[in-house]
Amino acid sequence: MRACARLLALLLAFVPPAGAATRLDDSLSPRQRVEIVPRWVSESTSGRLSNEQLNALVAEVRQFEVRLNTAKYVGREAEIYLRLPVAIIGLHSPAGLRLEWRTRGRFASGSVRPGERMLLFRGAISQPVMEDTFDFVLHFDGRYIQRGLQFDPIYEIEILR
Amino acid sequence: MRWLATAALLFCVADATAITIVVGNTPTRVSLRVGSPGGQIDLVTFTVPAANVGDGVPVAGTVPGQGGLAGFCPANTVYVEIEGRASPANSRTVTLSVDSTQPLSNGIDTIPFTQIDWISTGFPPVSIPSGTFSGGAGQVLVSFQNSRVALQCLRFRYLNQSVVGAGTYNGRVVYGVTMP
Repeated sequence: MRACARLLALLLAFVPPAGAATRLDDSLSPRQRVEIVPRWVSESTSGRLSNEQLNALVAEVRQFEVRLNTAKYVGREAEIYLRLPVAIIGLHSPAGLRLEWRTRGRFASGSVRPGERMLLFRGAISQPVMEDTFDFVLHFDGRYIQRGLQFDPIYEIEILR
Repeated sequence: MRWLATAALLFCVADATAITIVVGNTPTRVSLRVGSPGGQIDLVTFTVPAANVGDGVPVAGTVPGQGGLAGFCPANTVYVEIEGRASPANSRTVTLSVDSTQPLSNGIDTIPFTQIDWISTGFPPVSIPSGTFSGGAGQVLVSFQNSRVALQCLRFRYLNQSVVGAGTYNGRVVYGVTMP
């Protein structure tokens, strides 16, 4: 057991080398699971809509507080990214989802598709917990999704110095 | 001891995966528009000169306005739009049918709807084939998979194959769409 505890301590204290992306712990965030019900973007066709417009769905998650555990990185220069996994349960094509967000300013606003990542922050990590409030807008193509689609936005850090 | 360390490591990694976004019910939508919007019933008129009654030469119908959608359909055609939205694509079947059981009537005589056909001008990816009313209920005009919209302009013709009594004959067909 003592060896196990030492191993755990080593793992917790491990700071990856510069340039390697490491997943950040976001379990401090107050809300852990959000269920959304998308709606059609266009209610009427009148012969003017493309297939993309016809099947466009949207859903919003407002005031979503994200808290990232950056305790291990205090004092380091780093970049923090938001990534979507390339494989998502219930998503038949990466073209079927785009996640867009606006923040209150601590992190940058942006958008990503599955398999992509977007920079949220670049600079010195000065706090053990970095937090911001996100307004997420989820854009779906109804042709490529099904009920039960679920995913975890991934927050990852890269140490610069 | 090695097993314990591995289990602890897996637990730590899983713990960092905190926030999950789940899509609940996805909406479905099926709609049908024949002619003008807003529930208006459009009128197609066939004028048969007395000298030509029953001569077998089809008479094209006239439709006031632009057939329900200005700038999209040619003159004297009726705009038909069928839309089926659901997730994912190709998971449901959209079916357009028509009921033409009630014949046209002048109050004395009748003309079955089998005397009226239509010529379709369709737009990909779905087309309603040209055809003739069957005079029955539930005549299927087209079926297609969801996540598509079918846009058509229909030109109706009176086939003029029978000698009928003089007068103005009125009748109505009713279109319906399903996406079970």
